[in-house]
Amino acid sequence: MDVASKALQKTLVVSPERQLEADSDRIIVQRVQAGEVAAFDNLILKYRERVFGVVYNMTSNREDAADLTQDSFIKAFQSIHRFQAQSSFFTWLYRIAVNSTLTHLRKAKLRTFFSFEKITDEDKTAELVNQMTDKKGADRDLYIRELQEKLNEAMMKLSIKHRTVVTLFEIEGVSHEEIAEIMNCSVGTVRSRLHYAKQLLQAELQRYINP
Amino acid sequence: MNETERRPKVTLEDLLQLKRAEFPPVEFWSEFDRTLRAKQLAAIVETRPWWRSWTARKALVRVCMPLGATALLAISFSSVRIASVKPQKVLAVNNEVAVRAPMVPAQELAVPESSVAAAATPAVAMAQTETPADGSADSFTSVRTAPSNGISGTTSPEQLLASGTATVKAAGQALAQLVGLQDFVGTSATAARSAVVEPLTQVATPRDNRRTRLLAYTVTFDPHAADSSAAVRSRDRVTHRLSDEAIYDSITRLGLSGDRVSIKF
Repeated sequence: MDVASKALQKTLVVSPERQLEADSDRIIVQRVQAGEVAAFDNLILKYRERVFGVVYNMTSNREDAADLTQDSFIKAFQSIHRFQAQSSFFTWLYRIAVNSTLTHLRKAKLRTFFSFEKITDEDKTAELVNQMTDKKGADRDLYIRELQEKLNEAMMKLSIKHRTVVTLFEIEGVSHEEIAEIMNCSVGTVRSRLHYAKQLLQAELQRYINP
Repeated sequence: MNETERRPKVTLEDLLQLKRAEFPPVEFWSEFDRTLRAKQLAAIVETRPWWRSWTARKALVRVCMPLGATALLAISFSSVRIASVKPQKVLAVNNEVAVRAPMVPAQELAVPESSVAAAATPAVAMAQTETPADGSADSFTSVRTAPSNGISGTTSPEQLLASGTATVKAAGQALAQLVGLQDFVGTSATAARSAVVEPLTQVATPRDNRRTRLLAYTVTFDPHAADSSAAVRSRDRVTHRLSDEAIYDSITRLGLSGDRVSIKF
């Protein structure tokens, strides 16, 4: 077992599914590195929603999120020959996206325009919304909208690093180890930031949530 | 029903899960793909600056460290060198004055000793070195560059002094060869200085001229005397301790009549 595989296993020890995903990504990346540029489209189609979700939840702005997601894919495409498979492509791509977003947020600290996406009415989401409120029709939509707005406001009150940790772990479902690798910090730091961020969010949303 | 009972059962995790469901509409992705394709093509077509390519960056990083260290070393070395060269320059100026003596054209130095003695004085030497002869220019250059070659790499004051002394010796030897002196006294700077001063001591002062003239009246020189040199020595011994006024007074007591000389004491 080579060094790259050991490093990859260390990162993905909590998730065997991620290991399979990383293996398939590795094959695609090797094809791209060999000159098959069109193979990169598979990676774009596979990860565009997830990368967009991370960036969107960090910026709370659709246009910015779209631009930053596209720029992240372009950067990954331009630097694909530097990818040495010591981490999963997913982690590497997330790192590019998170770093680009952090740079953007530091530059555009004073101009924040929130935009809200419409919640897709999937079965699971509908069940969750029904669990939250017994209102029907327009009142229900209005209530959900208010919850979204308050959650976004509370998220924006977090620091960039705390917001990133919450987004990656609670919304995107990325493991602590992967977040530590994406953000280039220790797992303990990730857990500490997550705990602190959740305390702040609960304090901000105490009128809307149960303790 | 109070406020607490009306509050829905919502947790923070539920709210955060709700955010997972936030997705843009389908038409957004078509626009997203179109823009991304355009950016991707632009990135392929666009020629990136050479310093932004990974290999160039790697090469720069590899080169910059030793290059910077070398530049730093060179700057510090040159600054130390400049600081140590200051006293050397002073010595070099002195050496130059000493070395410029050989610049006197050989045909001028070949004539009588009086002119050679005059050429040995610093002022005359400097004046003559302003227009060096073609034949002596090469020897001047070689003698002048000798100390700098010897000094290269040594910066301590003792070594600089030693090299300066060596230069002066070389200049003295060259001067002696040009003048024709086989036994150059010590070939040292002091010896050269004494050789320069000596002709001035040989020039008669007005006091000596007057003394000689007055004594010519007092002593009759007899060429037939057996011990004329002894008479001269005794005359010098007598007159040596007399001042000019005493000798003048003694003349008034002298008298000349025929072949006799009378002296009143």
